[in-house]
Amino acid sequence: MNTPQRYQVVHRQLEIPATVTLEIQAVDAAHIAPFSPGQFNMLYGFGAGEVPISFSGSPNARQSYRHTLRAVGKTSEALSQLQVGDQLGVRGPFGRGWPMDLLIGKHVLIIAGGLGLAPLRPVIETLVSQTDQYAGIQLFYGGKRPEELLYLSQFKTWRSAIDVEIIVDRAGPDWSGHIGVITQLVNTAHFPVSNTIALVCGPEIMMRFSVQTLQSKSLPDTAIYVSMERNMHCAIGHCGHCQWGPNFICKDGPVFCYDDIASWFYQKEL
Amino acid sequence: MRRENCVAICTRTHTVQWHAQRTGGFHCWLRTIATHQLHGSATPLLTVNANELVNWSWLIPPYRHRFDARALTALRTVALNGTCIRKKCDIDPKLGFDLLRRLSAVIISSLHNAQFQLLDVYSTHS
Repeated sequence: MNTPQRYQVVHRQLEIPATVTLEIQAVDAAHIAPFSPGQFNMLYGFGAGEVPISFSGSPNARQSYRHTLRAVGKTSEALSQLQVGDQLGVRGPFGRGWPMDLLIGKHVLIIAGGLGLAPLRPVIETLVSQTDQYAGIQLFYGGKRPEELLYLSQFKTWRSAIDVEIIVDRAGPDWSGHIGVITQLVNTAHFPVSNTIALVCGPEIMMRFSVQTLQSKSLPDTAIYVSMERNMHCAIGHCGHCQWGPNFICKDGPVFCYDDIASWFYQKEL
Repeated sequence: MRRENCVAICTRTHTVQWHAQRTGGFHCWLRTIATHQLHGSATPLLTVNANELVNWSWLIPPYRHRFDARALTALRTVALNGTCIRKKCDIDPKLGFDLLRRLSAVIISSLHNAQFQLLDVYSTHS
């Protein structure tokens, strides 16, 4: 798991400008290691470096992984330029994912912002495939502009199974959906407080406001889960780059129950 | 002082006191210069959902609205007579204080949301 394995890009999808989804298969093995939604791989662009990228495909896939990544630095830029047939190194899966077992029988609120939808797509695909096991499923997705929303082609499928609400910061006259901030949508949500679990992923500022909104609706901290994806370097808790209070995000996270990290959530410079 | 209205889809209004009461929503449109021209376009700013206030310019001087609104779905609204309310508040400062205290929370929340919208928060998460 901790030695990079050779993988090959078998499919490349440009989602939005500078953001691609790579489907990769192992070169030297027939099967891939199973993963849980919310976990991540370390993707190594040869000569460019290594970055942690969450799984964004179905956890039921046994032949390939899918990763959605945005070109924001040298390494992710190199990875985003990979074409079908190109190779890369992969270590993983790493980390603790979303509490899938706890979701059974619950009303599930999924709150995603921007690229934060990628680590939640495995959750959504799992839930959509077995909706009868949950009391209710609501997806709230916020983005900057309509043309910068991820996986739009899949929303039609998802809408047939779960409640989906999308909101953008800015839009043109043609947009007939919500405009504003994602907390406005969460504010309008109706859910049974005692039987709901919320999964939140996106920019930290968006997660902070979302958590505050959920708290204002009396959802207990123990029912809120957030994905903290930052500063991860070695992925095995050795280098200390991602130490966050008593936790290592790469090893103890990236998904945390808010109740466990509430005291660190608002600490600056951590 | 209070009037209920049924608003059909795509209705645009220049009145200032809309309060969405049931399901449905408004787009509040920023009137751009182009809006004043024939066939001009407008820039949508935000969506107002059920039980939210569309406009509060009737409360604060100079009592002029700068936004237009368009109903995205059929809905019911409540219109308030701003002039009448202000007169009542002048007569009864307790009423005025209470009204301002309630509405200031709405206004501040809206201001915070606008500030949040201006931040380019979604571009940095990787």
